[in-house]
Amino acid sequence: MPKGDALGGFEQLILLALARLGEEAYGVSIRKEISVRTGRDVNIGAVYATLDRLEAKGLTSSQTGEPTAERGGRAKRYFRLTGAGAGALEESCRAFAGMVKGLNWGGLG
Amino acid sequence: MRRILYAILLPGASEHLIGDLEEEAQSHPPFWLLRHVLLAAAYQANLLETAAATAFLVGIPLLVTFELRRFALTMIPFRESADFSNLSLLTGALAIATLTAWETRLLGGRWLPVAGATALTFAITALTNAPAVLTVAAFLGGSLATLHRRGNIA
Repeated sequence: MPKGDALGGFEQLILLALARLGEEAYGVSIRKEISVRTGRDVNIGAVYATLDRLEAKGLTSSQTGEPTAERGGRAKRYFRLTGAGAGALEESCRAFAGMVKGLNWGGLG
Repeated sequence: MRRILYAILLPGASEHLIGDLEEEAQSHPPFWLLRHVLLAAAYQANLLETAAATAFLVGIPLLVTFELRRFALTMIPFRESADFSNLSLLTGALAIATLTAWETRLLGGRWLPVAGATALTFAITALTNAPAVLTVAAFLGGSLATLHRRGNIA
């Protein structure tokens, strides 16, 4: 990933959600996955704004599913990590883990 | 009711976003949905675009309207109610401008047809002294027709 294209915090969460959800990653499931695991009430608009940005960077791809009745006959848009996205996520998580490793939490604040 | 909410606050939003909100609506209270629709509108930048469109579209037509009205009052002596209030005209103008901004967003930011329709609406309002509410109703009808055509409402 070129310098200056480092993942933002929410971008990282979205990519992690995609990695966890696999084939079942779409707006609602991504929002719920992040909300449940982080305790944050994430907005679907924020999710899509970030997904669109990640897709523009080539880190995710998407495809339209079939319409369903519970969605008022509207289709889902499924997202998945691209190879570049998986690489960027791994790099980002390694950097984060490196920063966290050995940190003395008791001595903070 | 939810369809009207989506149509007003999220005009032109993608099918999958509306579908996601509709799916979430099955398991959340109305207030939760309203809050998320408002936030989604902000993230979609609809509110910002609507505000910008309103500022652009309301300024000139409003000035033109007042000038046309003044002109009409001097040139047409047999008008039945030449003393209609400025407040009524202003309220009508603001309502039309809001609808105009909304429709501009619906049409994917194509300003020219909407600006033309708005100018015509204002001109008709000013010259014929038609009740503003009728003009707004006609404009609303056009907007609903657009929504129907785009499949936002059944």
